[in-house]
Amino acid sequence: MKRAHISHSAALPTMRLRFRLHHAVFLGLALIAMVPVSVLAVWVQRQEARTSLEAAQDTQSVMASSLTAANSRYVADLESVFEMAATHASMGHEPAGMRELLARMHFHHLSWSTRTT
Amino acid sequence: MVDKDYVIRFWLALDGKVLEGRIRDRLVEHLSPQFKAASSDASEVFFSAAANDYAGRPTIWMVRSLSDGRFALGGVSTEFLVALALQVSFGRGGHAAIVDSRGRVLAHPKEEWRKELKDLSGVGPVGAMLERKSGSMVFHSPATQSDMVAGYAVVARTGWGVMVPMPMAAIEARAAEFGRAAWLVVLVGFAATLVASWFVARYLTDPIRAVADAARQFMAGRLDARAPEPGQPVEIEELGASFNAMAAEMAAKNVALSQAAGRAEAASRTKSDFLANVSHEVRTPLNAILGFTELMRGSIYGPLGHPKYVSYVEHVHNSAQHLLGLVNAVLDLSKAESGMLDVTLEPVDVAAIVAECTPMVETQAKSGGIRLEWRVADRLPRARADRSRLKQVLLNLLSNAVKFTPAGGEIWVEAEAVDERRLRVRVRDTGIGIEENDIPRVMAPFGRVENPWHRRQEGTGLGLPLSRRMVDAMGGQFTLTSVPGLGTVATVELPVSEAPAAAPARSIAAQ
Repeated sequence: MKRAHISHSAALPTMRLRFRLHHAVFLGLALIAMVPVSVLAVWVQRQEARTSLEAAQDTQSVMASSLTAANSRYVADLESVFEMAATHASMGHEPAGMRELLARMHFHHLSWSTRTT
Repeated sequence: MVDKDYVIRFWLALDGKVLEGRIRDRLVEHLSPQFKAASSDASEVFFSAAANDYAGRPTIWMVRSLSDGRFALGGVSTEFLVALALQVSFGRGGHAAIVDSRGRVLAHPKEEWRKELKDLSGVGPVGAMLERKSGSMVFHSPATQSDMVAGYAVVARTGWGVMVPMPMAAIEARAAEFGRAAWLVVLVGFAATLVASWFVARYLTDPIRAVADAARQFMAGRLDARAPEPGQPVEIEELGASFNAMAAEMAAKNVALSQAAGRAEAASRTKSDFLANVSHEVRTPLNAILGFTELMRGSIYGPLGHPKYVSYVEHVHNSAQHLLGLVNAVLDLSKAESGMLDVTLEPVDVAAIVAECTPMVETQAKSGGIRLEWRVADRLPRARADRSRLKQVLLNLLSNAVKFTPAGGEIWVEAEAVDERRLRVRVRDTGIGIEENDIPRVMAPFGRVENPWHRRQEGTGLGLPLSRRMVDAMGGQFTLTSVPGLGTVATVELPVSEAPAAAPARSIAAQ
């Protein structure tokens, strides 16, 4: 037999989370603003660390290259002075100012050698 | 491997000392590769790795072959290189260092390392420089026990390495300082964001709360409550305006409805009064008619004379009884609608009422060829009800069941407990049934279903609505279910009055 009246009032189990729209909007806006900024801050910080390292490496490479160039020039000068001094020394005479030049170039001494045999 | 037979004569002793004699074995051993190279190539100056001279000074040695077969030997101090390196000082611990082709210190801020020609070939950048590579790298410094970053390059002619190291801690400190500044800005931004978000949220939600407050006040009966409109976001302003328009319309309708309800109530009261008065006025002569027709049917004062008068008197009596029943029903319905239906609630033995009412329709059922059965559950509790009203209800239901059940059909009357607090009386039949859509109609006063069977049956259309009102007045529940062609079930649920009566189950069938 079919019932003429069907009750629709069967209560559904409800678990309602009550919150204020004010709080939801506030949290939503705050999160939308803060999350990207936080991520950006972390990214910028890491980027800055990497950039600082790279900048330091670049700077120090340039400084090393610059010092190397200065050293190369010094070595070239040493070679020239040494060749000149050695040539004159082998001929047994000392040009004027040679000692001062050698001293200015930080020579401790200049000598020649022969084999005993 | 080492030729120890070189004699070195000092031609120029630039520091004032003049020495002559055999060169020290260790220096000969040190310079042996340069001597050999110079022997084979007289046009080149060959630089050796650093070695201390006779005075223990760190010295760079140069060897060149002379045209007479001798070798020129030059000793240069590292002063220029040290001065050059010491010019480089930056940041926290940034400095420069120069090593020879074997990785030993020529120039370094640490003097003791310079004096001992400290071997740094095991340090990362120095190792790379010994392989003639240039670049930069991060390495762990055994001297400082910390990570450092260094740029390095090689002097091609001599194989010296130039390294500019700096502690990683300095870079990390700089990055951390930047990070702190960044986070400070972010935190300030956060605070500003929180404040701004709070005010924006308030700006958006306050108007909605105002509308909700207005709605709450309106619901509480303050019909003049209105939402604020101007100065809001457009959408919320529209919401407030819509609410206000709705509230104004509802207030106007409420006034009209109140007036209409007042008028309807007055009319209903007038109708009820009229029905009560008319019913009362009609019942008095009807009782007289019934009394006199009873006398005539009983021939108290002698025979009526003609047989047709007997038949006429019978008709008059039956019609008067029907009319009295109708008047009583209208009167009851009128009382029920005005909330003045009299019910006297008391413990009622439902089984006794079933047993009392069922035989009253047995004759009618038998004559219609209908099987009538009733059954009362064992230990049925008493109901809290009005005895006469319950009896009236049951008779109404039984009368309807007999009326709308064709010959060969069946009617069951059942009484049983639903639970500890309620009991149920059910009248089931296998009658013609009612369409689901027609049930509200038959439950309304004077409502009848339009079909040939119903038209053949006598009835006022008051039985079911009156029964429902009586059950409602007794605190019970009346339901009607039906399927056309299968039958109808009328159910009356009543509250229990007391503990179950100790009576055995009873059932009876009649046909």
